[in-house]
This record gives sequence, structure tokens and C-alpha cells, in this order.
Amino acid sequence: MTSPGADPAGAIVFTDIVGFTELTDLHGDDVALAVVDRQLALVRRVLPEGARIVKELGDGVLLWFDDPVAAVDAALELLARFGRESVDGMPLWIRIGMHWGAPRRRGDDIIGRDVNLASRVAGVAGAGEAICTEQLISAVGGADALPHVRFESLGSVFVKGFADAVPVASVLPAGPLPTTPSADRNTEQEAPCASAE
Amino acid sequence: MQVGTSAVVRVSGRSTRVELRGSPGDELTIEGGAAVVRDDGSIDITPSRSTVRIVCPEHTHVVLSTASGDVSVRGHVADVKVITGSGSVDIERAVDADVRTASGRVAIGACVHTCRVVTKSGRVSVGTAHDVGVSTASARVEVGHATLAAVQTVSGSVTVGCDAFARVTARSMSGKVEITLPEGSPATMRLSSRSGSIRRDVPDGEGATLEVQTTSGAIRVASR
Repeated sequence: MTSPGADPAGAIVFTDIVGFTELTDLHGDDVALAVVDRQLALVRRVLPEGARIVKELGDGVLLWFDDPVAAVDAALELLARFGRESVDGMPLWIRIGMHWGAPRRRGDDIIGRDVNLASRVAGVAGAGEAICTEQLISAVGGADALPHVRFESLGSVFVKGFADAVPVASVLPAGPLPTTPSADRNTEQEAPCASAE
Repeated sequence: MQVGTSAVVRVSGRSTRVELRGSPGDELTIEGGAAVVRDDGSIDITPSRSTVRIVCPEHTHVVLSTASGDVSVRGHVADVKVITGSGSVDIERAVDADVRTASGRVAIGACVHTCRVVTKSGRVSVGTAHDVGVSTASARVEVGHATLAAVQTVSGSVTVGCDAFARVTARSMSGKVEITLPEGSPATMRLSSRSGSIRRDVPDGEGATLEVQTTSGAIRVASR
């Protein structure tokens, strides 16, 4: 999928806490910080080998996956876990945007059109939802390639900075997620929820 | 042109206003745009004017994309998917609907099955649907009548009218949530709020199942 000399292709994944600005306004910076910390802890737990946190972005996280299937599985795992979480009585709502591309490397960072697109796609998702591009679906082998995942086409979206509308799909679980190596699947039971109290 | 059963019609125009009507018969007519038939039988319509007017068979699956153009769907279509940035969306009647906007107003008259709306701001109104799901940041959400409803808002207020055996889940941070039931209908209720007031004016008992959680938004369950 990568031409010689080009940067390698991978799955670019953005997570974003829904309503973070309002949450901060309502409950203050300490609670906001606890929510961000909780997000990061959960993300670290589900990252498999070949995946990494590229950087934190305030209330969001930019992730990189070598394997597109691992990215899809991790996104669904994250949504399931966040759906069960709360911090100080407040729900943790995240949305996820995913795209497959070959962004340029700048140290540990990734930069370029594909990164921008993944970020824009995240904005299409609602709370507790993952949205991906056609490129990611192709990278996993097509919409019917994963028996435990259903890709539901949503049409195309015009996103800021891109001339043409981008076809996107919602990523939905169609069955139990397969067991894959990740930080906590090999080790311990989930720790109790962090609290801002 | 004539189109097959369960045809997929896609319209994509950045600032184009899309006016579509589902009508009995097999005819697809287009005013203000050109159609290309794909290998899979689906039809892509590219608008050539500021407004594209389409009449399609009632069984058509419709996929509409705009950046700022408004979308109007009249008559009856099988299912409709709309993604727009700031355009308003008005759907009279569909079997299923999935609507995503950033800031546009969304009005859906009736959905036979499932109605999904994702928006950041604006106003969402759904007249009648079997199964309603709304996710929004600050939009005000009004659902006239639903059997199943799941609504999430950050600061937008939520009003849901439901039937006697409905299952409703509503979660909000600062937006208030009001659910109304038919007069005299009991409900099993799990209502919780961190700092908002909770008022219930319906009796406990088997009937509807209501689960409402807010951070600071007030909760009210009442008869209508």
C-alpha cells in the first residue's frame, strides 16, 4: 500500500470528548482534568502492539495503528468501555474518527492531509460513535471483511478544507470483539473508575 | 428515467438546495442536475443549479450531501440519509432516517422505523417515530411520540412524548429533560441528577421504562 520511499500507511484515529467545553464550564478545571486523565488511561489500556499515542490534543487523542483491523477493534473497544464509564457522576462521551493514509512523519508526530481528514471525520460522529472513511474500509479488506464489524454507509460529507465530499461510514459492532493482545487484556481486571472528588 | 426497485439515489452539492419528493411509480425526474447510473445500479446526481428538484419512486433509498444547502424531502421515501454542514433538513416521512448536521435545523415528520439525528447545534424536532436516537451538543430536542428513544445532549433541552410502554433513555449535562406519558400511565423510572431538580408526576408501576440522567439539568416526568 506504500510506494518505495514513502512514509508507511496506517490508521489515523482521533478521539474527542463530547461536550468538554461545557463540562469544564459547569464543573471546573479539576473535573475536566480528571476526565482527560481517564480518557488517556482507557486509551492506553486498549492499544495493541503496533499502535501508539501520537499526541494528546486537549480533550482528544491522536492515535496511530499499523494494522487497520486493530484500529477498528480498538475503536469499538474504546466506545464500549467509555459507555460504561463516568467521572464524578458524569458520563464520559467520546466520538472517534478514523482514516487510512500515509501521513508524513515529523519526529514522533504525523502531519498532512490524511491527518486533517481523520480529524474532520471525527466531527461527523455523535457521542459514542466511530466514523471512518472508505480508505479505512478498503484497508481492512472491504465492508464485509470483518464478521464482528458492520460498516454502515452514511453518504458523503463536505468537510472544511477539502474540495470534494468524503464518503464516510459508521463503524458498528456486529458481534463480540475478538481477543487481541493489548495492555490490559493480558493482565489485570479493569481498575475502578477514577474520580475527581 | 425509470429506476429499479430499491434504487439508491445520491445527491451531492456543496451549496445546492435539494428538494426531493417521493412519489408513486417508477419514474425518476431531475430538474437542475444531471444523473449518472453506476454499475451497481445506483444513481449519482450532480446539481447544475442552485436548486435541484428530484421526483423519485417511493421505494427509493436517498443519500443527500450538502455543505450549506438546505434539504427538503417530501412525500414518502424508503430511507433517507443526509449529511450537511449548516443546511436545514426537513423530511416529511420516511421508513428510516439518518441525519447529520453541524448547525442546521432538523425537522422530521414521521419515521416508520428508526430515526437517527446527530447535530451540534440548532433544533431537532421529530414528530413520530418508532425508534428515535438523537445525539447533540446544544440543540433543543423535541420528540412528539416515540416507542423507543435514546437522547444525549450536552446543554440542549429534551422533550420526549412517549407511549404507555415506551423505553426512553435520556442523558444530558446541563440541559433539562421532560418526558410525558399518556394520562394515568405508570412507569418504571430511574431518574438521577447530580445537581438538577427531579419532579415526577406519574405513578410508579409497570408500563413505560424511563432512564434519565443529568448532571445539572432538571428532570420532569409528567402526564399529558
